[in-house]
Amino acid sequence: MTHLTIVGMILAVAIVMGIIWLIRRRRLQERYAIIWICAAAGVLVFGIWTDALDVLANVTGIAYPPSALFLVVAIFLVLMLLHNSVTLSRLSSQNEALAQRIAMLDEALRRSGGGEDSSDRVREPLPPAPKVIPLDRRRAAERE
Amino acid sequence: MRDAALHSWPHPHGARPMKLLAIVPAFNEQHLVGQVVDEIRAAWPSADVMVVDDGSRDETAARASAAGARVLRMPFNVGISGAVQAGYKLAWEEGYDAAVQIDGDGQHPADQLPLLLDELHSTDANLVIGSRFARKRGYRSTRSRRGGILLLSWLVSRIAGRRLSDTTSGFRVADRDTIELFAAHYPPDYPEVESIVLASRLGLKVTEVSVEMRQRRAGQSSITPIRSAYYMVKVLLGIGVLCIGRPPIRLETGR
Repeated sequence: MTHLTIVGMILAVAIVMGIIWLIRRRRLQERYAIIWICAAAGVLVFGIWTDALDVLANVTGIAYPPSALFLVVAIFLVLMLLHNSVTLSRLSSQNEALAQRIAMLDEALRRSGGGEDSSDRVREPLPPAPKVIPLDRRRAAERE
Repeated sequence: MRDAALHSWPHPHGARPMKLLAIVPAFNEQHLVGQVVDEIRAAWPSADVMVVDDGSRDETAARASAAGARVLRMPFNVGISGAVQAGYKLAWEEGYDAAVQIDGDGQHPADQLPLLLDELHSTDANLVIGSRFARKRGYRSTRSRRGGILLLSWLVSRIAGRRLSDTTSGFRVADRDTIELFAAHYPPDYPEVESIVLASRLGLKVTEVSVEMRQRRAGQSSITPIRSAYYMVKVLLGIGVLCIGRPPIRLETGR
C-alpha cells in the first residue's frame, strides 16, 4: 500500500463522514448527499486503484495522465455548479411567488378583519414599518 | 377630469361598468405615494388603487393607506417585477377588467390615464403603453440612453409588428387577457421591455399613446453607466430567449 493509496482512502472516508454529519444535522438533503457520496467513491477508486488514471488517459487519448484527472474534476465541478444555478433559479422564483402570496393574504386578512360590511366600516390605519433603532439612540430619544 | 361617460364604460361581455385596478409599485416613496394615489383617484374616481409596498423601510405603506389606497406589503424587497406581478395576480383573482400600472415615485402623469384607457377601449388593443416619445416633447435624456432606447424600440417594434417608440415606459394599461398573462408569467428583473415582447409573442396587441412624463420629484434614479450596460445585455438576452424559447403558456383569447 503506497502513501497515495492511504491519502486517497482517508480523503474519501473524510468526505463520507462529513456528508453523514451534514445529513444528521439536517443541513443537507439526501438527494444532494448522493452526488457527494458518488464523488467520495470516485476519490476512493482513484486512491486504491492507482492505475485507473493511466487507463482513463489511454481511453480518452490524453498524453499526460494527470491532465485526465483535472479534466474529470473540472467536468464534475462545472456540472455541480450548473445544477446549483438551476436549483437557485427555481428557488428564487418560488420564493418570489411565496412573497406575493403572503402579501395578498396579508392584505385580504386585514380587509376582512374590519367588520361584516366592508362598505361603511372604518379603515384601520396601517401601523408604520418597524424600525430598528440602536439602543443608545433610543435611550437618548426617550430622555428627551 | 374628463368625459363622464368614460367612467361607466359598458363591459364588452355585459352591461356592468368596467372594474379598473391601479397597480402602484412603491419602494421607499413616503413623500410622493400619497400624492400619486390622490392623482389617480382624481383622474379616474371609480378605480381601485393598490399600492404595492416592496419592502419599504419608511412610511410608504402607512401613507398609501392613509390616502385611501389598498396596500400589498411584500414581506421583503422582491424588485419591480415581483411587486408589479403581485398586483396583476390580485387583479386577475378579483376579476378586474383592466389594470393600469403607475409608478409610486410620481413620474407618471396619472391625469393622462384616461387617454390610455380610451385607447384600450376604443381599439382592439390588449396592452397600451404611455409613451414619452410618440410625439417629440415632454422628455429629455442623455445620448447613450437615447441610443439604447432607440435600439430597443426598433427591435420590439419589429417583433410587435407596429411602431412602439417607448418600450421602457412603466406607465401602461392592460386588459383582462393581458392581466391573465402577466399574472401567470411576468419577466424577472427588468420587465418593461420583455413584457411587451411576451405579450406580442402570444398574439396580444400592444399599442401606444403619447403622454407627457415628468422629471422625478424626489428620490434618486437608479441608473449608472455599468447598470445601463447590464440592463441592455439582460434585456436583449431576455428578448432573445422569448423569441427562440417555447412560449410559457398559450392564451385562449376571445379576440
